[in-house]
Amino acid sequence: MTGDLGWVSGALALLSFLLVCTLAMRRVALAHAERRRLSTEERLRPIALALVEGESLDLPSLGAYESRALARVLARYARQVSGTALAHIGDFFEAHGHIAREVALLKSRRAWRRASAAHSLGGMASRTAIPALMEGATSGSC
Amino acid sequence: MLAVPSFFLLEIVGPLIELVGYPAVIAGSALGFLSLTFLLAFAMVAVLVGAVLSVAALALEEFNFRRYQRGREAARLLVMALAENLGYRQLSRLGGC
Repeated sequence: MTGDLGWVSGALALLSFLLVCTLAMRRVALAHAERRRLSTEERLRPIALALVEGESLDLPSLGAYESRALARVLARYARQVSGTALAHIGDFFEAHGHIAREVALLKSRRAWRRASAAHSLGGMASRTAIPALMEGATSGSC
Repeated sequence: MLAVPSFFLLEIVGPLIELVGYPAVIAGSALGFLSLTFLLAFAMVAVLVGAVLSVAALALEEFNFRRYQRGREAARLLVMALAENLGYRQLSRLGGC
């Protein structure tokens, strides 16, 4: 019986160790992703500022990850600026299909996805998203 | 249907059994009813079960909510999750009754 308890102890210790290793690996992966996000956003900041200022620039071809990073930077700026700068940000999101994608997500079956889309649309400062947001708010789905 | 009975068993009856268990084990050991080796092995299993549950709860939190953004906070939480089984949980049982 004591021998069995020894085996159980060993198994539990191993399980604890594996769980701790999983947590540590996840933290390392998250830290790596965070560093990548910060460096990408830092690299895209001049483009974002130019867009906010309304400068005409040829956008370099951006991958999906960089595109999302640029959208995040602009969404942050949208909460800090007003007037024409805000309109420029809204125009960018509309022109690149971000608004249409987030509006479609407002009808998602998953509540967290609808809430996330509503939050994103709030940051995108586009007037065209207002009817969809109002509809979601009145139906209680957002 | 399941929540109330499990809550009753785990949160109300459980601490009482655990509290009665500690003096019973000490008394049984002092009176020679218990093998010291078995007692130590069983105590080890009890502490490790608590540790696995705490770390698993921490993993659930980490994968679902990620409330603790900084690695240092998560590391501190992990140390606490392991250390709480060595005295704190037993004391909190005493306080809960």
